[in-house]
Amino acid sequence: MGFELLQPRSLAEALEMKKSYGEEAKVLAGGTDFLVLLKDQKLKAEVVMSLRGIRELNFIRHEEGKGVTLGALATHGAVAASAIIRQRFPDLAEACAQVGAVQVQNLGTVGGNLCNASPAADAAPPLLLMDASLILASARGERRISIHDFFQGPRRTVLQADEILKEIFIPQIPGRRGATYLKLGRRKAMEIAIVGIGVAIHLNGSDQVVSDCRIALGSVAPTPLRARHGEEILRNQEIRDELIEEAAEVAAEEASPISDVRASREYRLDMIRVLCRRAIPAALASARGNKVEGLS
Amino acid sequence: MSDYYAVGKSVSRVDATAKVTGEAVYTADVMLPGMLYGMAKRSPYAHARIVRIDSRKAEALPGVRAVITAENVPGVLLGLKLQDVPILARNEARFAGEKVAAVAAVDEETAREAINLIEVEYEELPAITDVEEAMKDGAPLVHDNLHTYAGLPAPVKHTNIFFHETFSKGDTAQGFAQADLVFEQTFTTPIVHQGYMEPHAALVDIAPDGGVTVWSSVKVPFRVRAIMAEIIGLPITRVRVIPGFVGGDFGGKGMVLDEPLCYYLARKSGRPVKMVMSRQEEFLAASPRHASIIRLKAGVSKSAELVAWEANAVFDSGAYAGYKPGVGLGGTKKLAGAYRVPHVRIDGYYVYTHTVPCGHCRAPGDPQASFAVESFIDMIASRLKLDPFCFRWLNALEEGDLSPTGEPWKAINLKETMTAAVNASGWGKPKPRKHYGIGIACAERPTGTGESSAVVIVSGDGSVNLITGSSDPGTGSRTILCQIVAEALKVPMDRITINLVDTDSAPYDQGAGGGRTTFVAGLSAYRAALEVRKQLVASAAKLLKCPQEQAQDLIEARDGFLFVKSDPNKKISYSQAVRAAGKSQLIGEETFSCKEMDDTCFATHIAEVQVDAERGVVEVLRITAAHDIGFAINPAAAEGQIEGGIVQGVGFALLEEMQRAEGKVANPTLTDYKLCTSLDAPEIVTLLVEGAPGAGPFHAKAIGEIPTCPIAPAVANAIFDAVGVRITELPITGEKIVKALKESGASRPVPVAVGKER
Amino acid sequence: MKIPVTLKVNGETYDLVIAPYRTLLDVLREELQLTGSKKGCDVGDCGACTVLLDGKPVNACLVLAATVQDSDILTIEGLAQNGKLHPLQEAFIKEGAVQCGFCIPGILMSLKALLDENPSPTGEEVKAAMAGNLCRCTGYSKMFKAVESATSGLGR
Repeated sequence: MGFELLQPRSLAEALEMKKSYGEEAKVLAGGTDFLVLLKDQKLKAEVVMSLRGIRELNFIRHEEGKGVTLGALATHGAVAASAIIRQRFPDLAEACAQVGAVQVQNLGTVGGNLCNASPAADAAPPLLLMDASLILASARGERRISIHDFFQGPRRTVLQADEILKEIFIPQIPGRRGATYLKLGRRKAMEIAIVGIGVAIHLNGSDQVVSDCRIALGSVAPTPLRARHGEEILRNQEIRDELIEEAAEVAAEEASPISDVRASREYRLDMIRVLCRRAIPAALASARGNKVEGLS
Repeated sequence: MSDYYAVGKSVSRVDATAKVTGEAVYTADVMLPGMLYGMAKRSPYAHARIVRIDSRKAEALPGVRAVITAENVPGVLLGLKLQDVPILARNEARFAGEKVAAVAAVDEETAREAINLIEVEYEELPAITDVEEAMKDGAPLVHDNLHTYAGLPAPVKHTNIFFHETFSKGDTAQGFAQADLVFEQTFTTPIVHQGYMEPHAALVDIAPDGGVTVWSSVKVPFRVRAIMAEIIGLPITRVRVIPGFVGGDFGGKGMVLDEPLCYYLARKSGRPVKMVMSRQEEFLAASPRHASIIRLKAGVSKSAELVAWEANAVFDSGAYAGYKPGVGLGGTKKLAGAYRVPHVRIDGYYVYTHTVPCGHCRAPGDPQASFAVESFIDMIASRLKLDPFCFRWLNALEEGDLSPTGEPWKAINLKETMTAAVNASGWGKPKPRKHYGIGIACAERPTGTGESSAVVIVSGDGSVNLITGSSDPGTGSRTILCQIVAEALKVPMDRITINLVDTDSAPYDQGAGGGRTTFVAGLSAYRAALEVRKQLVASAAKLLKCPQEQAQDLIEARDGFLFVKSDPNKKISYSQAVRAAGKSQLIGEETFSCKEMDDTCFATHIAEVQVDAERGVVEVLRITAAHDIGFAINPAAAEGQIEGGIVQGVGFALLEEMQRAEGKVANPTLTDYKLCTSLDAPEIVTLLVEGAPGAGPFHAKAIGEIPTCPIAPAVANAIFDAVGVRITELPITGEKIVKALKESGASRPVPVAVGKER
Repeated sequence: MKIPVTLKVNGETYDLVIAPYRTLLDVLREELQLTGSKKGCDVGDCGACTVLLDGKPVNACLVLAATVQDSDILTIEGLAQNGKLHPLQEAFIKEGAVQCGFCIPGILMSLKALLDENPSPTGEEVKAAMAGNLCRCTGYSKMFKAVESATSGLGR
């Protein structure tokens, strides 16, 4: 894996480098996926650009009334430990706390997790629930895209050759939001999800009627995805067991899992149903417990 | 509390400080000036003819100092008994991962690049990767010339079944005729890896005079010496093997892997060469535990006594058999459990396939046998509507019984372990929750035999050296040996020094393994210490004016002093005794060898689990493990063996499987080959059942291997108790449980047995 | 092409010239002869190479040495201070938590980071802190006990 190493100290410098090297310069953030791919010779790199030295990308910033912005270098560990994230986006905190184990959480970044575009990326389902947007920067300027438009397939994103993911913006969500991320692996740590499910429930006024329900699935399709038809079943409804059951069924129909060394397609489909049945009530309970209006 | 001076105590390990500070040197940590990094090129095909190897590009790469193929190494076949393993594949590669060439370069990166530059033209051949297909007449042969191989236990020709062993007692036809009920069931277990944390490492340096020094991560330095000397054609004394600290073994560090390649690369390059296997290589081509297919058949009387038992086991050996010291596996003999059965017939088949070659793994064959037998026993009990404990108790071996294969064992302590485990666990208590389950399983495994030597030196200042070639792959055996010597000499532990010594500096030792170290190395150390103590006493007798002929009886030792029992105030120090002998040091030595053994060990494990029936996720809450240990020389070390064995067993039960796709290992990483993490380990209650007259020093028995045997069936039985489904194929994944629950239509037990009409 | 790199390891500064692709683990082991950090998998699955980067445990095999020149690196060799073992080291010895020892340096570093942040962890917190460090020998039991013993000794 012999390569040239670029170590920009500022975003501007990084963007200039990316401009001149383009596709050739592979971007290294935490390294927990990237270096493994390099070592396994699944990825070839002539030039590697490490973002580690760019302090300005390592932050978690909350702006009341607007939302939370994660710098591209915010690690899973930092996100999982962030008071504001834990309070307002517990699903994201839970997801980040379930990535690998402590060592990987301290290195791996949420930004890297997204750019790596693994269908099993733990951070993706919660960010899909939040309709997060991504700020992609290049020497040409910046563009903001929805996370829903970011993934193109396994290990493929819309990032252009000269672009770098700069920030992840999580908009403030009106009303009361409760959410959870459930990950199924075979061990209690050091796992790549067999199925990962995020569910968010929004309440607006009433404790009974769900103003919005969002379901996101990981590891069960070429990219992480929202189960929009499943969500539809619960939206503006008073939640009953039969509806949860139905939403879980429909969500499973929206997935297209494969069989691999980790699990079969059938088991994954079963587990979408099971995890939905568990996550929906959990998210609802969390939303009901969340008495502060305008949180999130 | 015992009256012992140094044994029976949980003293700290002699090497613990070196290990907690990072100072302990393992083989991969050794760096020599000018050392090159070696790496192997491996076949991607399960079976292929090697048409041509072109290494010119690799040789031309700057920094590459040697490239070798089969042409550069002797055509010998290696093996611990059956000799079938080439140093590098010659003409034919028999499994995906087999070494076909090797390079040595100035750094790892260059070596890797060189490996990529070696061009190998293969002609892919049909691979036989299913063990049952491989057994059929006319199946393609993995080894055409099997009949010419040295070490074949019995002549066979044109077959993939290189060994068929049988054990029998009584007459099973008669036994089944007497039975009121007959049950049959098939079980399977996958290939699992030993999972030692330290990958294999080897380093070879050749002196200008041709003398060879080998650093190796294996636990059998003298075996490595013999194998290397034979390959090279040197007297064994010209090969010196320096063991490092061994980072875990579990049976996987008993045979040379890259040592011969290092030698030939060193010879070609004129530089020392080190090879360290990557974790991926460990999975592709080390020597893991055999997959098995085990068919059991039992005949039971109306009064629930076992009357006949047949077992048929097929062990998939992969492409080679040379990694097994006995060609077969000890576990075959355990296929009728530790129960009283008058009529027994066991057949064990060992079969080649085009897959990763298998070897020894902690209690070779036993966990497979134990899973089958102890699950089966539970299934029969369930069918008979008997409590699984009671059914076992009714049939459990007792003092005076012959073993299932007709051997007279002494001190059969099975029931003592059953009682201890049941009393300390939740057995028989009301279930605390839905989908909680409890399961029991028993095991038996003999103390190991072998040969070991020790030298004990008492120096002029009274300090003591223990010199032994016995390896300690992490078990604590070197500490235990020191405790034994401290006990014999009655000197404090801190007065005794034990160093890691090479094959030139220590007398022969067969190596760790098979549960032999405490017994064989322990007795040799004990006797060597007693021998030197005799000399000390004889010398002290002169100073104490004690008649020589009575000295050995009248003189006692304590804290490094000698005195006449009747006058303990008049003491002679060891230092004075050595000097009074007119020498600078006194030396005791002993070589102890034992080939036959009637001493065996028993264990009972009880598993308590909570099953999430929707996801199939099993949480092992607690394991209660009772072990017939004879005497625990170091209780903490014994507990450590048990706790480690249990967690390894939980992995075997629930997580671990080297998956294969067309013969290739499909999950060669620690991401997808899952060892238990700290969060997956159950609570463990360890019960050391002492008192049986074990064969080892102070009546110690063996403890290294048996703890990993009864776990999988105990867990499987607990799962059955929890949710009513019986999984007969390891590992018991959530997926299998969910599927079985679906098929059984909720929690009804699956019928397993065919009642016989009479 | 090799590049100059300055690393701060265990309070010492090292000026090196290394290839940019070399991992912190390889540089520690081969350039600095700090072989206490072990290579068990080289891809972040086993934790045997765990070191502290600015106080946080990371897999040294997943870090390029050249990218951590601004950080303080602590390895197992720096855990004992002035010849005095860390309470965790003492406790691991005393409780028999060490077997083959290969995983021990990494585990001690993970636990040191835990105790620095949380001197009185619960049992679950201890387990979670160690979950990225595989051990095949001990079954973890005696390690849990050792942490308990070390934390009670830290004056809980």
